[in-house]
Amino acid sequence: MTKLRRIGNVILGLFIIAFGLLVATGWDSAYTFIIHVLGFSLILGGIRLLVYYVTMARHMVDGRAILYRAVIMLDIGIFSLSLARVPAIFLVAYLAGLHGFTGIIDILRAREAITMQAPNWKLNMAGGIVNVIMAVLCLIFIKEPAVAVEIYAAGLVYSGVIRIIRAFRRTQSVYIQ
Amino acid sequence: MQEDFHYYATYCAAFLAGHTHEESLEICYSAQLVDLCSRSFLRRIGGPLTAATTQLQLELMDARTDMIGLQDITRIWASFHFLPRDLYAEVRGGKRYRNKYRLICGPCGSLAADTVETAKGKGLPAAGIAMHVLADTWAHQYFAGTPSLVINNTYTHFYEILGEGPDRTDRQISFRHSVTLPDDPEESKYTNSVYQSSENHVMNLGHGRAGHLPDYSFARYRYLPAWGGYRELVKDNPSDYMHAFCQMVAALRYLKGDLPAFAPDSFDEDTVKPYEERIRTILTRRQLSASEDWKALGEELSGRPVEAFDPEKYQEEYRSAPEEEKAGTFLGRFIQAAMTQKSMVTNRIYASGNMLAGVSVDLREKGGKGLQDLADLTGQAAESALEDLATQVADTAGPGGGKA
Repeated sequence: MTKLRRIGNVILGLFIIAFGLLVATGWDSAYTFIIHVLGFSLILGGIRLLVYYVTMARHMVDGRAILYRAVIMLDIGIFSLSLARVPAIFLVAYLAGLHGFTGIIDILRAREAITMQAPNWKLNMAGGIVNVIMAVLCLIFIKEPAVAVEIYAAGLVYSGVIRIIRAFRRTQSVYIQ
Repeated sequence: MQEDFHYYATYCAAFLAGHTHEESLEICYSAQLVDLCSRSFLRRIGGPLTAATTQLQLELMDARTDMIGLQDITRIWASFHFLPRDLYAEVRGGKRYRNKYRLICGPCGSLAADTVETAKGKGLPAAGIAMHVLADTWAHQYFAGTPSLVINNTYTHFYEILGEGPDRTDRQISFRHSVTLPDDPEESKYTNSVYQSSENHVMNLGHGRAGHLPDYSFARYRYLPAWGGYRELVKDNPSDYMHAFCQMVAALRYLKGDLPAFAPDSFDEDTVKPYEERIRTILTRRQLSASEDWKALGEELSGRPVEAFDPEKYQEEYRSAPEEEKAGTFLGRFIQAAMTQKSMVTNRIYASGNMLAGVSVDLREKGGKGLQDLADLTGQAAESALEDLATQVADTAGPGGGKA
């Protein structure tokens, strides 16, 4: 990880923590803000991947995987934005679902890393488990929006802290010269 | 390739080309130093950082992957480890894709001949650098010296070829990402770099996704390169390494003045013939390092002990030399030769309309722009070029006019 990327991750981590605290204090527009940031980030990411597919990856063996990722990201981004005006309870459910999905992906990646004897599986596994627990708790307390919001806020703070820890970790990776 | 070929096999090639034991040692030392002359190394000896011929793992981890950072990486890796075969290759796709595709490394290209020509008359360290570059064109072919997922990625369809003829068996290679476990040729278990979906991630530089397989002389394998349109490639390292060895002998004989010319497909098979079987045995033995075998051959050829590569060997000479005498030391000559090679390759890439290695100024066409840099790079030769150009400018401007 470059120094610039490390600094970027620390700043982003601090923003996420601040946002988590803001959500915990009960800021009314917090959900709408989250959903807009999430939606636009996914849409921009999807468009970027689509451009990459058209200009480069379509010539690559297995390049269609990039196209599928682009379409899925774009789709989820648009869907996220469409949820901006629904009651908060649905938003929490959606965000919980998204975190649950991310958590499962993290756990699968950690399992793959174990199979490949890669050293980075512990943080992936921990992140995945916390994400899944958070999603489950959100769903359990979905009829008590205040509790669900607190859980979600705690999850955000956790994500921010993990991002900052990752930024300070010594990068250990296999590089072949 | 590793120390076994860049150091010990290069010693053998140099000796077979007619060099003395001492000269052969200088050539092979220089060839091996290419894999060590990083910015960290240059900082330690107080040398110019632009002469870096490699990047260490930690340097790469902190390397920028914006336009400027990518150009820096490409200048180093394309110039010394992944020399492009055809800078004008035609391929379907846009300019961005084509530029990366054209940097795919391969042997016997015009740049390989230019590399040898650039080293002509520049001394033994320059010859050693050229030998490193030539040898790597064989080992590293099909990968590019620039970070690129669409060029350098590989897939699970990756088989090692064991045995020949009716005894041939193909075994699927299971790659792993362990930083501690050594490769296990007996079980076909090798370490490769982690898949990174970002096009310009440093993990997508060179042959990382194929692990060290291109560096093992015994390895024979078939796989799908990302750029190959689902066509399977067969890589036969023993054959490629033999070609590399014969080409090195031919190149060294040309540099020594024993051959009138060096064409991109020059091989000196006649000189190597008496040792062919011995070399083939070394190349096909399944071992992670063939240094001992090559060393034994080298010592048999010259009848002298071939010392182990010592990174410290010339450092003190360079450090303690007065500023004006540094260029005359072994490392000083190595640094100048490295800069000349990097400059030549960067210029060729730029001249082909490809900006991946950055902007390069053709000094003679641009009216002297950047001449001071060249003077720093190549010392005496450039200074005389500067004087020539100054004279030309003065002549053109007439009495009282012009300055260079």
